[in-house]
Amino acid sequence: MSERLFLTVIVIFLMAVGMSPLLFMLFESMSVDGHFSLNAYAEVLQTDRQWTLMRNSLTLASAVALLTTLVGVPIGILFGKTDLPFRRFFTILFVTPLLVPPYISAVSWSNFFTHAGGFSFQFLFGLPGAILVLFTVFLPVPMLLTIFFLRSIDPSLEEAGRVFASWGKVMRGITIPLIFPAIALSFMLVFILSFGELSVANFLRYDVYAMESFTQFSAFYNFKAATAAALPLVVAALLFLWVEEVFLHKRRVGSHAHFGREVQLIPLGTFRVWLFLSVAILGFTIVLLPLITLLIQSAGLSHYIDAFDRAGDSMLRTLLFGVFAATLLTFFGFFTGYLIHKRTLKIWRLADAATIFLFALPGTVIGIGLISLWNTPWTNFIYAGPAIIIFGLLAKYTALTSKISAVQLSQISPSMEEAAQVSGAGWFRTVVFIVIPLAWRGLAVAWIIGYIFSLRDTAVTMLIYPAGQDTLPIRILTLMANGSPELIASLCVIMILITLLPAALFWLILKTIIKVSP
Amino acid sequence: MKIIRLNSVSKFYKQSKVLDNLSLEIEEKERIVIVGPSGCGKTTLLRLIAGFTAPDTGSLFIEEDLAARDGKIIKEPQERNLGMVFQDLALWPHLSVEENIAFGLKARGVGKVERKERIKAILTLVDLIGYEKRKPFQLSGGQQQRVALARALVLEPKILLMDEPLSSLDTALNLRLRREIIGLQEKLGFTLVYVTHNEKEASDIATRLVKMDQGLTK
Amino acid sequence: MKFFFYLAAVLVLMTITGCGEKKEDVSGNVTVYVSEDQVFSEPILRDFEKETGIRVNAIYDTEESKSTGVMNRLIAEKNNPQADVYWANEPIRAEVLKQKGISAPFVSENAKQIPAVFKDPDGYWIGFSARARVFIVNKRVEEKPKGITAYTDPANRGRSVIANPLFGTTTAQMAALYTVWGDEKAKNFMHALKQNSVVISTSNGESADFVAAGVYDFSLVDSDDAINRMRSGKPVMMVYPDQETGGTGCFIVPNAAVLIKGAPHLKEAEILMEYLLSKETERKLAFADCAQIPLHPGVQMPAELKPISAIKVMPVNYSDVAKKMIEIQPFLKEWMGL
Repeated sequence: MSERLFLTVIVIFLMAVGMSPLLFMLFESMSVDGHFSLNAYAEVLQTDRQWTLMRNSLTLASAVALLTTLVGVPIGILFGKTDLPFRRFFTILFVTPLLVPPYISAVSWSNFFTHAGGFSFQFLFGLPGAILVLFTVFLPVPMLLTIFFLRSIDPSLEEAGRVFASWGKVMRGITIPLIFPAIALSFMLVFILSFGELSVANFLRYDVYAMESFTQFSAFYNFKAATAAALPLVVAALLFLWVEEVFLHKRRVGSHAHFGREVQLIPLGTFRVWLFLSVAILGFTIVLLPLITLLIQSAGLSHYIDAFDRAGDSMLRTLLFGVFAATLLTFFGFFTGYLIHKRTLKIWRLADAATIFLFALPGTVIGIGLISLWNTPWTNFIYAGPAIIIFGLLAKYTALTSKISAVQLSQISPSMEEAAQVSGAGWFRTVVFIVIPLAWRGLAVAWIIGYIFSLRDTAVTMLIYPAGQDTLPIRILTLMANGSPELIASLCVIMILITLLPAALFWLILKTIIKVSP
Repeated sequence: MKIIRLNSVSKFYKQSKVLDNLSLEIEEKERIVIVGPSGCGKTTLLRLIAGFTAPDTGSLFIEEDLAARDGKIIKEPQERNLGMVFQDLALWPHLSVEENIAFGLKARGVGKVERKERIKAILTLVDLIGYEKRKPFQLSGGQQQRVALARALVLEPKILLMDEPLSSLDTALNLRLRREIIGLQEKLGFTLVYVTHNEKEASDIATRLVKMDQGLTK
Repeated sequence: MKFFFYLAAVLVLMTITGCGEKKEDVSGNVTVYVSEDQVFSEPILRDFEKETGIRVNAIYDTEESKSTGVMNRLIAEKNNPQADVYWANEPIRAEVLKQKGISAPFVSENAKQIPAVFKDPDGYWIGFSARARVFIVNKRVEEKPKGITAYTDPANRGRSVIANPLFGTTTAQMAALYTVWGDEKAKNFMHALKQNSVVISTSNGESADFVAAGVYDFSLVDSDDAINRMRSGKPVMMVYPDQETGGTGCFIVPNAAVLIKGAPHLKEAEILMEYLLSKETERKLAFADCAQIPLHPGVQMPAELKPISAIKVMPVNYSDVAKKMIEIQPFLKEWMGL
């Protein structure tokens, strides 16, 4: 009983935080002077422009999802499964673009091309540029998921194949089919992320649908139209829920956790040098070039002193919010993931759908919803403090930690929990002492992902942060208005460090504390 | 006393009937072995007794107390005072032998001193003294088997459920462990409900044999 | 239970970051929403903190959503205002706030000498430190543009650029032209822009960069964008448009100080309003990189700037401009979408 009660409380809390603002907005958008009306919707959906924008968005999102999957999965296999030299270093290198707000990537790319001397400068502006930037930003998603899934495959499954087949055949016939959920999941994730992303497309002047809702807010102050314009995004989110239901749930990995056995590395042999060179060149082009542009621009102690003077307080707050939000995201994500995996309550589907839906929705919409719901004299203690930021981040990103937890939990044999139950342990004891230790790797990944996404968020935070309590990505955005490029570049470098160092530290600490291998 | 009593129990999975109007009474201190081909519903029967699932219709009594009826679990697994050895053993990989065994004792609030004594006693019984600090993957198949037994028996259950526990072992080990299980049962006096598809194994262990096929006992 | 542990932790966080800071409060605090660039506005607000001991909690706008993030918040928060003062970087949105009943009237001692054209007659916003909408022109261009109609001159076909008219000061300028020229002439002008292949950039800053790099010949930008490029030695110059007798004049965009209705810290808000409207603030903003033109007479300013009295100003009623701006949005959007 305590299990059901606890999970119900978790779901209700998430619904209150995430869905209620949206329902409130929906209600507002459909009432005109106290009467029910769909005018706002009719107006938005009747223009041709909406459909052009929708087509643009779909083109961009599918191109980015396809490209990242095609490149990211092989790279993930190379880094997670072979004896490629410096694979750990490469993993970290390729992840960096995901850590910074995407518009920073767009800015550094455009800086790079400007410095490089107008080399078909215009190519960057429009669809190709948007694809390029979003590709570098989201490439780590399939890469990391592939590495993560490869680790959880029972080595004996591959060994069984190795007895009579080459590594190539085993990969094609056994390993890749086993990590198919990771591939599908990452495709979907990248699609949703690109679909809702507007800062890059805006900067590079490619008109996308997510921009429409934003424009309705920004240029017209029209809340109803903005809500209505968000409707197709809702439909898109629901469509993906359906795709996920059909393709992913049926293809759960059947194997369970495997401790104490090393991942079998594939020897690359003669290809080793060539693959190393190719990866190095790719990494240099898509990660280091823009990064070096940033570093060159920020060179000089005085820029960094200026940066600390202008944004020191924001840096500290960013760290605090990030750690807090990540911890809460992991907590709520774990229990929703647990619910989705075990389906203890009938509302598991609702919880699953709601979190993904919120994740797919542009942050601006969530932000406005949170304001309209929470900004009342009675809830001022939440709205006027950091709690509202935490709420916003929880609403937006719980899907990530919940999915990671669910996937990790699906790798743990149900008998582990049952054995604890017959030993007389209640649900809490079983979860704390058996399930969580068994799922620690997934939880650590969830925390890091939660941390990164909380840190780099601008869309939600920008609309709801309390006065005088902004975060570093927001400060960078606000200082970008006429701030010197040197200052912005040094702030971006600091931003990357703030993200990377604590995440790396956290991982190292966990690795030393929890010894699972002999 | 009938320690376990199933009254016209049926269980469905999607369309197919896994257990069909099954009634069964188990006496105290019996070694009852349920034998039958894969998919005949014997594991489901065991999971029903353990409390992981409820009968869709019919009722289940444990020690004359109503434990489940018509789709509703009345006593949770942890309240049924039984032990179980799983087919995959389900040893917790992050805990040592000692910690695996201690888990249930802690859950039932057994004090530290008593816990130590009982763990030592049970490890002596299954001949695993000296292996306390090892992790499960550092043990051989037979040793893992004994840890799983010790973990279940340390709680002094009235009923021990075993789900094909020996199926992955070689013949020699299988034979030896059969004898050990019988020895332990005779010494400790619990009721054993044992599920296997191996008829020889079944007749070796059983004081009573129940054959199952397509959800029906014969 | 863990849940309560985390709940407690959130409360602790709130105490650390929120209430902890309140200890410094010597004489209260004030919340200000700022659309003027943070780089320029923050130093002014820091000086205010130092001089008065009043703590400033600020929310700044971003470049890409200029005047939108903060505006949206002001509108969304209408029923329970969090802000005391809004520092707008142009008066149009201040007008929108007035019409939506979000601002309150304010009578300023300091602003008495500021010309009436830059103030709302009822005091719902008060202008100070202004930008002018000027041409930035690449020096190699021989025939310098004199007025806005240079955009539609076939000689300049494909050689000029203008920022997206859906955003910022460019929108305001288009609306101002509507009020001065009348709908028909303004609409024709917009169509002519397109026919003459005028390039649309994302921002005034980008337009200025294009001209500085010699990609295009000229662009209408804010005066600070032009002065900035001149100071960093780019081969560009600044031209005030339509200065000839009988010309339309140069569109002036002052900052605007707005008092928010129901401000939670009214007393501190009034002190901040007077501070923003002082000559000293105007002097600082004139010498800062934003090089804004003081509206008080007799304020010191850098050499690049012309005093406001020496500029032929486009005679507009900012209230009319604001109304026109909302009215022409669908047209502008359609114009952009085509």
